[in-house]
Amino acid sequence: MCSQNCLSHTTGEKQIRKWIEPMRTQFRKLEEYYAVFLASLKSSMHYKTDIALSLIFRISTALLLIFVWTVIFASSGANSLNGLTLPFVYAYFFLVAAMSLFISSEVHITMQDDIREGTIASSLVRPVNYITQLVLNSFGDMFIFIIFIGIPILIIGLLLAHVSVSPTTALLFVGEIILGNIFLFILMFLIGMAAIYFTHIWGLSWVAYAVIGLLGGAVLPLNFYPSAVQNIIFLTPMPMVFYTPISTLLGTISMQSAANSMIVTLLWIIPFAALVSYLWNRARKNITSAGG
Amino acid sequence: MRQIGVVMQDNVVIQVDNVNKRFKTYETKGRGIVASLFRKQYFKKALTNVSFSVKGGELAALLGRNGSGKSTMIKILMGILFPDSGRARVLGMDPWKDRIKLASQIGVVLGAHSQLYWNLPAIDTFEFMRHIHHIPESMFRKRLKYFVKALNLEKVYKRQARQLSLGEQMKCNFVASVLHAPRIVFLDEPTIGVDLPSKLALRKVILEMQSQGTTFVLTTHIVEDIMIAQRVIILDKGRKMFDGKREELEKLFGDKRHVDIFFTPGSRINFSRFGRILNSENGFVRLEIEKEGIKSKKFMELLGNDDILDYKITDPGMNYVLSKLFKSYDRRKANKEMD
Repeated sequence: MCSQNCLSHTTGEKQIRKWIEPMRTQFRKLEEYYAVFLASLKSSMHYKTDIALSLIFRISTALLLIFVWTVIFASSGANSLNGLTLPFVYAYFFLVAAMSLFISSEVHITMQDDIREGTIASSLVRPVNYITQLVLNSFGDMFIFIIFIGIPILIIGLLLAHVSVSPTTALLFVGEIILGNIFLFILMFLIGMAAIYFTHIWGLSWVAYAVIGLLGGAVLPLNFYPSAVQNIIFLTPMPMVFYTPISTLLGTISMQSAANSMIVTLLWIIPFAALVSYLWNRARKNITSAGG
Repeated sequence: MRQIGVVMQDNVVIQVDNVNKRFKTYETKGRGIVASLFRKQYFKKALTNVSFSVKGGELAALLGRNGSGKSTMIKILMGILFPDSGRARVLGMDPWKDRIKLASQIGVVLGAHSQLYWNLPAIDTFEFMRHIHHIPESMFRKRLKYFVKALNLEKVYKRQARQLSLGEQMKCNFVASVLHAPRIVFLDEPTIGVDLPSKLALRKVILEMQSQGTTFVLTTHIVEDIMIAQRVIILDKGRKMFDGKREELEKLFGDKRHVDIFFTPGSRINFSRFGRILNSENGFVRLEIEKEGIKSKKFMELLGNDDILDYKITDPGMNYVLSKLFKSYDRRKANKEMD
């Protein structure tokens, strides 16, 4: 045991501690985040068959769309449609298949169960913010899928279109994905929060998926829409979920429009996040979590 | 161990003042398919003006029937539920505002919601807790060794949690929730599905932790579980009915004894002279008498009577006191509604 003396400090030491203490606190937080992430990651590894089946499913959806587009190109007789050649369309839908992993994150379903069954209690006994836990859990759940499904499909897509990716483009792509996913998370969180009032949110989430699919460019590359519609869509953060990152990687949009799109998304995210966090702080007072 | 919370006056660690909480619920009118579309919304009062305090190192039981509001109370103290009115303080902190800070000072065992990661062995959840509560490695090993031995978990904690029996899960859940040596431990129905040897082991661990200064608040509807508590708070329909020492509760209706008497059928002994008749059949009677009455001459003579074939004197115990308490409460309430 340490005696009273060795616990006191000189003024200089105190000054240093004053600097170190916040850093230590940050480090402690990182350890907590790492633990939450790791536990989700380990949990997801138990679903090996799920990972394999998911790979097959995603490739087959991409193949299905590719068949459709091959027929469209053949019947039109053109070499390129709206500036996209057939190999690029192939690549586009492979990339959609890879990116749709992010859509499959189940933040809203977790929230629905947490609120409806009262399992939120087991998250709230931990000294970590609930929202942080949700983010880390969904990232931990997705991680293995990204490594074993997302990246291979992405590489297949790039090989199909014979695209070589510069480090700058890759970096931009990653940045866009992060932005798009922040938006996606806030949106899904908002839907999950609705469970406090509606209990079931399946219907709501399917509407959201349909909207994201249509406006985000998962169903059809956005440059196939009439320009008036495009103008409106590009004022929303939706393209950041599929279209903008994919087009950036394939080199079919300019750096300038990619940057514009990122700014638009940022301008949406900040007030949207503030609003949702305000709503959450009000709404969580209404969680009843009966039974248990 | 870092001590964040302020120690309140008189070593009070939990202070609850006039807490109210009501829930919105729905009731379906009628029974048909169409009727299920029309629900009537109404408010159910889960807690009405509940006040109590718990001192550091106490082992307090929150007892009540199903739906009495005891889990709601615990959830308010954990910072999961927000009270409509009133004030709750745990270690000097507002549980709702300081939930994260408080979470490292308290441990919560929820019988209905396990802390364990289902896909992982319990040891992985323990490791998770080590990181999340920043338990020093050596301390972690020491505590884990103790719990594994005390709760007989050697063959359990390395298996996937979903494959464990209910009782094994509960024991692992307990360990996961107290590894960080919290100052207060909340136990919400911790003995669901736990077999007797495990229950006794858990009890021993709880008492050992208490002797080292840990405060326990236990909710349960199982009377046996409160026998380790020194303090009992009874909630019913959201109101506090009783708050005091367990011995006081046991003697709430006086110190009574139950006497089962078997006698020759047809004999004409007037038993009501000796005490209250609780139960009577041909050749059998159960009397309730004051403890002192047992040694009275009058009673001795009764037992010596030739018609008495056999007798048994028992302490009616907690179960009896509680059923009587709840019955009297229900009766009072029924009378009130009649007026």
